[in-house]
Amino acid sequence: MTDGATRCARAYRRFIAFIFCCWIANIAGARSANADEPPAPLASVAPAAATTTSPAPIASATAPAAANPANVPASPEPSPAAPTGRRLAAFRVDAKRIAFYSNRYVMEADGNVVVTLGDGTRITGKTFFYDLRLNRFVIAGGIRLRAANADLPGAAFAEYFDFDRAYFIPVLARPDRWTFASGDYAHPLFGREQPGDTFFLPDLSGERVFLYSKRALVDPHQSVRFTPASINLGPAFVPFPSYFLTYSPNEYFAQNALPGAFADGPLDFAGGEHALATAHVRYDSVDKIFPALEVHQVSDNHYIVVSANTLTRPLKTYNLEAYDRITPALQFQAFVQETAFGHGFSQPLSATAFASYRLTQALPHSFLQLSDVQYYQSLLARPSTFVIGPSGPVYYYEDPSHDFIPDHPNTVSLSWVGFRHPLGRLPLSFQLRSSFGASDNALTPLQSLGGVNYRKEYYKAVGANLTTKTLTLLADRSGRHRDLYLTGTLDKQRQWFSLPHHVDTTVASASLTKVFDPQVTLLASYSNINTGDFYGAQQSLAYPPAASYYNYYTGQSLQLSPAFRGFGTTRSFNQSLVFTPSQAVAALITMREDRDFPRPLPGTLQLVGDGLGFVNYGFSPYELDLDARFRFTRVLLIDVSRSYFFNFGGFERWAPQFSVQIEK
Amino acid sequence: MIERLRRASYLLTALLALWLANAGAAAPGQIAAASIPTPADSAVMQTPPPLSATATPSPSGRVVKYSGQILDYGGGFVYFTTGDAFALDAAVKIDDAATGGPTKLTPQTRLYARASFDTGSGAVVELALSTKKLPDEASYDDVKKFAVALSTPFPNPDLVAGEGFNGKPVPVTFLVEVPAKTPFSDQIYLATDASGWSSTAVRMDRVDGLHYRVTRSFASGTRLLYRYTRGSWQSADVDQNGIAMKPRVLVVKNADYRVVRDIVYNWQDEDPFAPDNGSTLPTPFNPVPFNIPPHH
Repeated sequence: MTDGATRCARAYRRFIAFIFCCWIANIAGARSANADEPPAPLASVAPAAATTTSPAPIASATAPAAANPANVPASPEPSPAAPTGRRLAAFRVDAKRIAFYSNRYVMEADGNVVVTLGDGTRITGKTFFYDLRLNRFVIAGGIRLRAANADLPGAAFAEYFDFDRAYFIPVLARPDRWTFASGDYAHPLFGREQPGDTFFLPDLSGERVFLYSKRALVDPHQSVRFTPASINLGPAFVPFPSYFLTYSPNEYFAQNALPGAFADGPLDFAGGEHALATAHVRYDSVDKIFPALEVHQVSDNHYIVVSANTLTRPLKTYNLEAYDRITPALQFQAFVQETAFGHGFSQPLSATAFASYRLTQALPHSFLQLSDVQYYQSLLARPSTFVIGPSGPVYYYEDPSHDFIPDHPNTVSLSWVGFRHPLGRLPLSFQLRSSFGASDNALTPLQSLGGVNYRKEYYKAVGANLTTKTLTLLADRSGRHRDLYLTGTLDKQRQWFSLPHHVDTTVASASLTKVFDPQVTLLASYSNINTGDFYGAQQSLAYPPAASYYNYYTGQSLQLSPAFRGFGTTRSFNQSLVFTPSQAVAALITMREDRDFPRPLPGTLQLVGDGLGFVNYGFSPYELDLDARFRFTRVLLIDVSRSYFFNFGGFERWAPQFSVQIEK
Repeated sequence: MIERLRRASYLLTALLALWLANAGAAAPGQIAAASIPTPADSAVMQTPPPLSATATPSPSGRVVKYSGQILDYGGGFVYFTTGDAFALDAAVKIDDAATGGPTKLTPQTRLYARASFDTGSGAVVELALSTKKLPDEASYDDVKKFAVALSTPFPNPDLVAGEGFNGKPVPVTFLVEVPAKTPFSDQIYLATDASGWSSTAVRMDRVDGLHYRVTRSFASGTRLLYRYTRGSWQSADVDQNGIAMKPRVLVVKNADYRVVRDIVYNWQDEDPFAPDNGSTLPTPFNPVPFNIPPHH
């Protein structure tokens, strides 16, 4: 077992190293493709082919007479939606001052502005604006357009990358309006109507500048690297060598592999179209302020996110989150977590790991899911030091607090889940499911009964769910929609174990909703959960009076009600009042009442997530939750919520929570 | 006889001159009023002089004032952000928009300006500058005919093709049906590309046992990608076939109001075989023989 754990640890580290190498390679590739290297020189770029019949090429500004307004060229067809090519791949902006407005996703540049497109075309001017989301820019004031086949003065130039159109106001003998299609500056389309807001300059008065820079390298729809960057951190602008901004439409960049923290300040510092590296400054009540690192590697169909948390503390957590849509009907998900205690990055004194893998195959009207969960209680080889305990030697690393536990519990299951189907013409739908699996721990028994230890268990399960549609009980004919609605659900599941025993779970719930006004809604719900663990003749053996139960997560043994024989009930009654007078204000009041058996155990102070907190077993009998949200600006939202526990265990009264959320 | 006729003609001419002189002295205000520029009425605006007259301002022209932002200035033209170039009168007056007096500003990109057009010549005779946006006076339609362009305008097929969007704010209500097993106390969020895919970007309000909703305004023409979550990407929406959802797409059309109805069939962190027993009772009837520690 020891050797196996060590092999697992090595394999795991190799896997991490492999992912890291892949990421480095990706970063390098992205950089060589479009990053800091200046665009190719003009001479090396061939002009784009003209798409239509056009007037004679304009070689330079000295020959404006060649343009014959009467000779209107034929209109080209709209270009493909996503044209490619170096000209549209990336561009660079240099200026005396570049400002980025994160609330608007607009970049502004002033003073000696030079825009260099991917094909080497250079446009100089006084003022520049780029809308990152619309992917179009305008540069104005004393324009000079220099391309391989054109050298033109102008008043303004606008580039619509997504449509492969550029609009230009040349300054020749008299002004004019030209349109360039597909980057063909030698064949302008004279007089062609231009979009109404082509040359509008955004009004950014009152907007907050996020950073100032002098150079921006833009990868449209993906990222911008600002070099250098003075970032607005509130009281002051703090200089950084560079800042990497990603605004990719790929939501996989938002996947988070870091554990929770009270506060987190991310700083993206490297990346490309498919990769992103982020440094975090975090705070929690245990480790205080500490750095962390997170790396994304994504594509349209996969992501790998690796994180290292509390880099400067002995207890470090390394997470890996992965997803791959192998085919449109097959996906793989993995989450691997290693927790190591060590000083610096030397050999840790202890290391544990948790891994969860899930393979999902879509089927017609159902899907299959293969799940595997593995715990590695100790990834390290068995140490030589030990003390003699009650049941033999207990090995440890350096000191007995870092004990060696070679356990490796794991569970494998295969589940089938059907689609939701309507039940005839009734306002009901049903869903079926089934599963079988096995759990194993070669060392510590999963369960003991009658003096027999069970290290391996098999199970199979079936379940069904019946749900109503939202039923209108009382319809309001006045047209003010003050209706009364009812919803209900019934869920029944049975699980057979090899031990043998079986567990029945029945969940019944219903909710009533009364709309008093479009802005005021009152909800009431009731749910009843019955769980029974049936051991037959061995019921009292499995659930003896005054038994204590061990929680593997918290490591605590708990004393439940002496009357508990394996049959529990949870009954909850919820009442909520939702008040949304406008988009800017919302309030929610919820009152919850619970009647549980066995009775709940009040909170004990434990390490939870990012700090210490109260962990209750079961629900407190009464709970009041208040929540209010206020939107002050387009992007600033204040959310205040508080929970009140009515003398539950004598520990808690208010559990306040206050959050400020930036919403765009 | 001829001599008498000549004298009579001289006398007649003298009398006519005297009458004309008296007539001019009797109505001096009328001549002065004709020389003061006044806003043109619409009939006059519909029949502007040809652009060729720009170099010779007409003393009978009227003045139209238009406010806008300067795109560029020079070479005898001022360019506004509408993309139009307007000819400057040879004696164009540059002054301060607030005071009407001299200004230290020089016409340049990004400054705001109120241009006074002589409708007779079509040229800008006065340019009042400001660093702040100026109130509208004449509409753009009143002055766009004075724009100078070498080419004859012709339609743009890129613009007429497809649906046009006017950019007006459209309230959009997202109404989502969630799985029946979604805990009653859970929060549902809308994660969008516009909010950097934050998993808690827009919090929704519960409508009934199965539905949540939220209303947000978007400019028509907005293309929004979005997904539903329960507060983290580990609890994001999953398609009915168990495969993770691709972002849903909403294109906001020109409308007074829009309702988007969606269904979430599964949540990513949902285990169909985990009993909802509060998830905390450490009893043997937990089918998972050890609790899975949350990592987020």
